[in-house]
Amino acid sequence: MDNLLSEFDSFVRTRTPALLRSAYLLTGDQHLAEDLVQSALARTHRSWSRLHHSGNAEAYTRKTMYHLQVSWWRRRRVPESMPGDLPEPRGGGSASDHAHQTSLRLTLRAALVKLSPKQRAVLVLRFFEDRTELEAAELLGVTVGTVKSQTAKSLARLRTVAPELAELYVLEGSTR
Amino acid sequence: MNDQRLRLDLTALADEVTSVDLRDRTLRTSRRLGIQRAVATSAAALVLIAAATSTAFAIRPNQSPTPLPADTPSVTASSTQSPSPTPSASADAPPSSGSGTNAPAVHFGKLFYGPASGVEAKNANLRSWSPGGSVVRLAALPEPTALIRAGISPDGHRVAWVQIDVDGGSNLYTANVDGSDRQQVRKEVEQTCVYPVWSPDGRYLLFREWDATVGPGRVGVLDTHSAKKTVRWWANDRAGCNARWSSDGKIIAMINADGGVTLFDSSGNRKRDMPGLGTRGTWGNGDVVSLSPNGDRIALYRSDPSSEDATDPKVGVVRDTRTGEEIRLPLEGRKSRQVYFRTDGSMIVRVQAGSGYAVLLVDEDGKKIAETPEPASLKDIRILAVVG
Repeated sequence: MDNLLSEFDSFVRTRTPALLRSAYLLTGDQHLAEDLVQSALARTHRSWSRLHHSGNAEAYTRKTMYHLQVSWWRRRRVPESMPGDLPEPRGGGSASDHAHQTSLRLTLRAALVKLSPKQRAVLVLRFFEDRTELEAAELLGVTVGTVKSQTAKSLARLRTVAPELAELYVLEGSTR
Repeated sequence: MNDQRLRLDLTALADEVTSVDLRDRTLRTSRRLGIQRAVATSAAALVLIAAATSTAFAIRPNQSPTPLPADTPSVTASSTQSPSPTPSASADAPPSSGSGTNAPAVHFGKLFYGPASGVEAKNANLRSWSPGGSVVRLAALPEPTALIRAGISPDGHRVAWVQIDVDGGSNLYTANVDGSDRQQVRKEVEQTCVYPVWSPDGRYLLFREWDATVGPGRVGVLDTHSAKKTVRWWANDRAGCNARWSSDGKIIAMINADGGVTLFDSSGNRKRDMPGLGTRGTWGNGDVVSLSPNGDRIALYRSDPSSEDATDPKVGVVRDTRTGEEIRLPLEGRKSRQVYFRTDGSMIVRVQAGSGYAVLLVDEDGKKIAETPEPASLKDIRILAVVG
């Protein structure tokens, strides 16, 4: 049992950063992201004796995380206001470039919050985790057709709620 | 630019998050999940404790006793101190000191109680109390939270609740309030947003479906009398949480996504939002308590504006659903904790009285008709419904 716990500890500590990054995009909030990852990991822990040899622990955790996130009423809605202190953008560039990048990120984050949980999940899976439509469908437990239609709706919604992004994201709706 | 730009920007956005060690928090959450599951497993059946026996309560109108602290010795207190597995009816206690033999009877109805949030499983029995009678311990539901989400039928005979079963399914059940005749009436039902609520005629149950892959789904109205438990689905997919049904059957109020209240007709068509509920998010799930017979007034919980401690108990308020204005209650300087409407428009108002509570009967015009102290044994739980 100690060995199992040790393995689980290791899994949590190595995978939490990546899980938090996705969760942050899904929720738009540091604390909600922590709650989401913690809830998903706890369910993974309940099934750890079955999962630890399967090599599917992370997939299981991510799947749980997306399903939990879609149940939008389980958490307080994320305020649409932006926090004042943002991390400095990485990389070089002029001050005006930084300001522009920061502005775009703010706009994108505000726009993501205005999507439905399902639409956000599809966008994160397809464009952040770089999942294929089939993989996204499996993770969300929906059909490929649903992923396609939700992706199209999400992008259209992004363009509607943040017209300033429309010019940047003239998306061809790539399929894989 | 194309979707590559979106990828880069999402990556940059994800960089904002600060990584933290979730190991300990995860294990704590896991333990809680384990406890919930164990409780669900161990409660093999609803415990039959007692048949509720309603006792009319006579009290002298407008000569209600001075409010007593609810820890005042009560003739009914002992009946719930020691939970017993043996079914026992205990409704034969004498009337409380507030009764008057020569006065016209004042009927408070029957009050149903369940544990407040966070109460341990051992206290998860449903209870009923008719002022003047004893507290009756009723069905024990499989997990404490089930009682928080339990819906009592308007005639007080049936209870509906959603529970997570051993197989992980989230299912809707009904039973007699004493725990007998338990039936699973629907599988895969959402349990954290829309709690099951009965139609005024006690035939239909409003609920929200749960899809294990996509989460909460449509709101449905299930016919409990039909052999196949048929469901009529709402077309409105933007319904809110925590529904309450007016006793004339025409209005359903729900907490909406903005933390306000939206009123729907019985088919799920949105009628209007209630004004004057303050800033976004002021109201949370569970804060809609009761709706007046025609939906013109609503009873809500709200944080106590006089308290700086967010963990203080909430106060019960009544507001006009058209204007949003708060309606004054005859509290005589005390704090209202819960308000429930009755089918005649009168209200049961639970007020703080010392370390416990008293219950007021208030007429439709806001005038107090009668008052009685609540048994001390009920002070740590809360009213779930008022019937009769």
